[in-house]
This record gives sequence, C-alpha cells and structure tokens, in this order.
Amino acid sequence: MTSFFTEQIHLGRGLFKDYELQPGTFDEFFEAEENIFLQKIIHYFEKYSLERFMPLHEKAFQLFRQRGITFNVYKEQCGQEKIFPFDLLPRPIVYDQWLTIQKGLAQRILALNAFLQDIYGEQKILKDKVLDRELVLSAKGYLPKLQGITPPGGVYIHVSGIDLIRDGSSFAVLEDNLKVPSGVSYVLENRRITKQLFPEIFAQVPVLGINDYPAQLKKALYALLPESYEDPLLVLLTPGPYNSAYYEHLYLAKRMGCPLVRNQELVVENGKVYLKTLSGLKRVHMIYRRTDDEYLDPTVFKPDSCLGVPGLIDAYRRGNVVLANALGNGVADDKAIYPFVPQIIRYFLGEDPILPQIETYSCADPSSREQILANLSSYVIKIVNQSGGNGILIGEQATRQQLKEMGERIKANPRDYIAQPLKQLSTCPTLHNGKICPRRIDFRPFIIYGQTPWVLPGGLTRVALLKDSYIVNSCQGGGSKDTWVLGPI
Amino acid sequence: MIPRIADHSFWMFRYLERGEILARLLSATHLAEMDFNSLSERKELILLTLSQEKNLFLKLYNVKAIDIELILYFLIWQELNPNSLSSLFKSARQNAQLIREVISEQMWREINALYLYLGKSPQDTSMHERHDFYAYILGKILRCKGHFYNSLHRDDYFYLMEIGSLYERVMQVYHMLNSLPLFLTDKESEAQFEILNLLLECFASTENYLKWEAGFQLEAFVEFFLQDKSSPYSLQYGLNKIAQNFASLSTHSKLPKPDIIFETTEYLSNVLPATFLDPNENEQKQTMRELLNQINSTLQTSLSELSVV
Repeated sequence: MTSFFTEQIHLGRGLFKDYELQPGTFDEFFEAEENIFLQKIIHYFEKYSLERFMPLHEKAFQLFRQRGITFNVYKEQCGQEKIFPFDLLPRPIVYDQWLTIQKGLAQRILALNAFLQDIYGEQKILKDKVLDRELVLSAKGYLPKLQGITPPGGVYIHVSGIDLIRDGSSFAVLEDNLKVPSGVSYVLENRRITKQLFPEIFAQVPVLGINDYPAQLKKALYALLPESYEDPLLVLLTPGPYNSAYYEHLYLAKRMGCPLVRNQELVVENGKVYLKTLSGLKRVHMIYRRTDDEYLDPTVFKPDSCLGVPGLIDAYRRGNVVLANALGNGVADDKAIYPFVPQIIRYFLGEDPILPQIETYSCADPSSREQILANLSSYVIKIVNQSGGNGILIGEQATRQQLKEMGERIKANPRDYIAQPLKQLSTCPTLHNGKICPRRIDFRPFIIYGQTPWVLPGGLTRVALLKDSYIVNSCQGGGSKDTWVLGPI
Repeated sequence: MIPRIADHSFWMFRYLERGEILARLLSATHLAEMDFNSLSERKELILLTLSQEKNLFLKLYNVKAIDIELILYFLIWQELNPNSLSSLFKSARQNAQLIREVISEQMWREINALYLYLGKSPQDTSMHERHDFYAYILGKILRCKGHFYNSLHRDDYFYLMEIGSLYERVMQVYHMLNSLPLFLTDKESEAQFEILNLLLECFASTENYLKWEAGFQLEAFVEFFLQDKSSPYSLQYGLNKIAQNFASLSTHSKLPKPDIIFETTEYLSNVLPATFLDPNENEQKQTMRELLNQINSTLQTSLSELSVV
C-alpha cells in the first residue's frame, strides 16, 4: 500500500535514515492513514540521531528499574523479577480508527457478557442451537457449580483486555481475555515515562489521556454494590509477590486506594467475607480478585490450592460478596468459542459485529480437522485454554518433528485445538540492537464494565522484539510500547 | 530559646513549605497538561490563583493573552515575585543561614544546594528538562525534611519549625478550597476529575484521599481537606498539630493561650463542605476567615512575645 509518506521513506532522515519496511507487512508509522498529527510525530522523532536516542532508551530502562516496574517469569529460577522491555517509539492510532475500535469493543463486551448471563442462566443460545452444547459445556472455563448464580447487575466481565491485530489497514480481534487480564499498569507507566522523556511532542499533538483508569475502575465496581451498604469495602486479592503480575496488583491497589490482601488475610464467617485487621474483623463487600478461578476456594475447586479462601464461593453464591471479574468467564474466552463470537453478537444484540476477527477453525469439527491436519504448516495452531503465547505452533516456522507431534496431539484431543491462517501482524519502528527496525506488534485495549462499557483511550501495544517473530508476550521475550490515541483534528 | 532563632525557624519552614507546594503544583500541571483533556483550558487560571500572585502578574506583564511560558517564568524565576520558587528558596536559605548553629549540617546542605541549583539553572528550562528540574527541587526539600524529622533535637526550635510548616499548609489548603468555585465552572465530570486530581497531586494527598473515598466527588474532596483527622494536609490535622506543638513549647505558659486554635477546629468539624462550593460569600466562609486571621494574629503575637521572654 502506498501512502502519502512512501516518498519520505526513500529519503529517510535522522532516526529513520536506514529504516526499511518489512515486505508484506503494514507499517504503523509509514503506511498509516494520512494524518497531520502522525506526520508531526514522525518529524519529531526524525530529528533524533541514534546517538541521541540510545541514551534515552537507557534512561527509560533505569526509570523502570528505579521504580521497580517489573514482572515475574515463572520459568526462570524462583520467578525472577524482570523489567518489562519498553520501546520508546510510540504506536499511534488515529482518532477515526479509534472511534471504530471503541464502538466495536463495547459491542463485543456487551455480547459476551450477555452470553455468560445466558450460559449460567437459561442457556437459550444452546436451546436455540446457535452454538453446539457439547462444545460450550466442555470448555475448561465453564464452571457448572456456578449455574444459576447471577452476579450483581448481571455483570460478569468487569475488566477485559481484547487483543487486536492489524493485518492491512483494518483492526481485527485476535483473542479475548475475560478472566484476569493484565497489562494495564504498564500502559499507565509507559505513558508516564514517555511524557517525561518527550514532553515537547505532547504539546504539539493531542494524545488522549489515560490517567483516570483506576478511578474509572473503582467507580464501576462501586456502582454495582447495593445502595443499602454503608461504607462498603473493596479489596484487591493478590496471589502474592511471586505472581507474574504482582507489580500491577500493587499499583492498582494504591491508585484505587484499596487494601492489597492475600488469601490468608481474608476469612469467611456465616457466609460473609471479612478482612483480618489489628482492630478486628472488617466486612469485605467486594473483591477485585487477581487469582484464577480454580485457586479461589479450595472447598469448591482445587483442594490443594494455597491461594484460596475457604468458603468464598459460598459467600459469593449468597450474594454477600461481589467478585470482579465474576467466576466462570473462561467459557466465553475459550479459543474454541472464539470463532462463534460473531454469532453471539448477532444473537444477543441483533447487530453485525463492528470489529472483524481472524478466521478460525476448530479442530473439533471433523471436516476442518481433516483440512488442518493436511496443511499444518499453513496454520497457526493454538491450545484453547492457554495464554501468554504458550502452546502456540506457527506452522510456517515449525520443524517437521514439531508438526508431526502437533498432529498427534490434535488427533488425541481435537477439541483442545484451533487453527488460524498466519496473519502478518503490522509493524512499528522499534529500537533493537542499536538499530531502528520494523517489529511486529499487537494491541490490547482494556474495557471496564460497571453500568456501561468504558474503553480506556489507549492500551498495551506489545512488540515482538526478535526479527521475524510473531510472539509478543512478555514471558516469551516480547516488549511493549506506549499507545498514542490521537485526538480529533 | 533565643527569639531571633525562633523567628527564623518559623519562617524558614514557612518558605520551604510554600516552595514545596508550588513545586508540586508546577510538576503536576506539567504532567497533566500533556494529556488532551479539559485541564488545558484552565491551567493558567489554576496556577496563578493558587500562587496568590495573580494581581502582581497582571501588573508586571499587562498582557492581553496570558502565555503559559510567561506564567512559568513568573512562578519559577521572577525576582520581583516574592513567591516565585527562586525567591522562596532564597528566603528559606537566608533564614537557614541565620540559624545554622541550630539546624543540622545535612539540613543546611540540602537547602543550600537547592538555592545554588536555582541560581545556576538556565532560566529557560526546556520542556524536556522540566520534569527533572521539579523532581530535583522536590527531592531536596523532602530530604531536608527527612533530616529534620530524623535528627533534630525535639526542642522549641523544632516545634516552631513544624508550626511554620503546618501553618503554611493550613493557609494554602484553605486558599485552595476557597478557589474551587473559580476552577469548577461547569459540573462536567471529566473536567472535575482532572482538576481535583491535579489539586490532590499538588497537596500530595492522592493516595490518602483514595483510601478515604470511593470517587472524585466534590463534597467528599472538600470534606477530606477540611475534616479528615489523619491526612497531613487537612485543616483539622494541621490545626490540631499546631495546638499540640504550642503545648510542647517550654515557654508555652508565657505565651498567649492558643484557644483560638481549639475554637477553630471545633468550628471546622461542623462546617458544611458545600460552603466552599458556593461561589458567593456566606456566613461560614466569613467565620472561617475571621478565625484563621485570629490564628495568624496569635502566632505573630507569640513570636513577638518570644522576643521578650
């Protein structure tokens, strides 16, 4: 795709002097829509030489380090703390594009929430045979023990992160994260760092603010509590400092002004949840929990869980505590359900989906399975209930042995796998090994749902730091960028 | 207690506190204005109003269109502005120099370094350097206070220094609350959030406020700064602590009784937050002003009494 900027690529100036577009990909800087603010951003960074730019990168790293903005990697010894690699060059999104994304995300969340209400309620969508009953109810994230329980306000998905990619000029949904999505603290800290290092560009270009995320989240959660509660207490439940996202738990607890608690600090008595304090037990009305479903209550789910609160589900069932996100959301973000989300949107909202998604084939379907097994090298194979980039096989890059092993796994458990054609993620100029080069990115915006969905005007752009890599996840070597949603012209 | 030292102790910390609040206001505004939001239209008004030198600014510059860079110069460097950062730290240092035998060497070094830093920093600090500039200033003040609390003997000078700091805070917060109707001309929630967030940052109270209150409601915000007994920036806390420090002074029996402080805290407990949201003068505002004026007189009288003790 040629654009207004193509000519300037060949001229190449300053920081982008030796920048070469990656063939077959869409570049977010140099092939994006004509936009005066985007042009200003490019001109601003062009004025830097590599010699001037590199020390800023080092400074950003030091700032992250000083502030202790880390994540833990389970694979490394004892969950080693690592700085989340951050690339200083932002990822811009023009306003008109953003409006479409915003509407599309709100629509998607409303539909998925309605789906969850229905699955844990009357299951009309299954009775009407819009979705296969067996496919839905066999999802690992479906919790039959919660059948019949409706959370306050009917809201299941208080916080979500929907992964988007750009293949060509349009955004499409890659994946839904509805259980315990993480990353928003890096969004906020990334912005803080870029403001500190590049204040001048913010004076020239309107970038939508994101600072009010914690306040919006708190407001949304409190809006769901019954009015009769006097002085309701919200706590943030963390699995503890060895959890990969502990920094985020700490950050959000501080910014929301709520206690950060661990499971042993909560107790359930007479069906109500209490916080153990030095001045006695204090009633807890709402828990923003960052612990996975299966670890939450050892008396109901995993009996060997050391992270749970015995009796918590009973309190939840009685309506004495609100859990955000609600339990059982995994059935809606199961990758085997993902191909059917457009039908879910049409069924519950009577609308066509605003945001397209990647064509996806379930290995559970015999005819699709046959096609996939015959052409494994043409697909990206994913396990339906894994996250963090784990279990993904990119057929094009896999060895024969890997393809063979994957084929066997699919035959053994077809329901557990989906296949998607390999999409060329868009690229963005990124500093790597002392050079500015194009690297693939995806984008995770965050949505808060209290009374109505609210979409954070920004999000986490994740970047695959290695050349030719498609894996952007932090635990697999990915990094992040600040996302600038540009204001209206 | 030597009266000269008592006076300089009190004023050194008043200037430091005033400088700290101004530096934090400038830093918070610098960060906040980079977002495309409704604060952009009001930042000049907020900066000049909270600095309490708007009239001086208009007199000095007589401009039709107020330029933010001019305001920043006025608030950071202008020597003719007694409440610019430069003037405030110069005054703080002058007072510190005159009581050097009483303050710790570490305290003196921090205040002196601050003064020297402002003296040698270019007066046209680029946007690029502003964050580090404010961070350095705030770092120095906080280190000075750290040394103050950590190492200074708990004698009368200590209590007077703390009275100076607390009193300055009380007056700055009171002025901020009185100015709210000017800043919040519309009830649009986004604008309200931006402004209240900025003011909380300015008074280093964001985290404390968030622990106290679920959302950014106007009345809750005012109530927090008026009546919360635990927040170091609330009027209740400040006045209670001033009264305690008075009682700790070894010469307190010879000073005018600070009953006016107790009277004010008592009155404060019953002030309606809505009072400060009313753009018009009302009885409660008038009474608060009179009470605070009386506290000011008491303090001034006490300092002069100390000269003859």
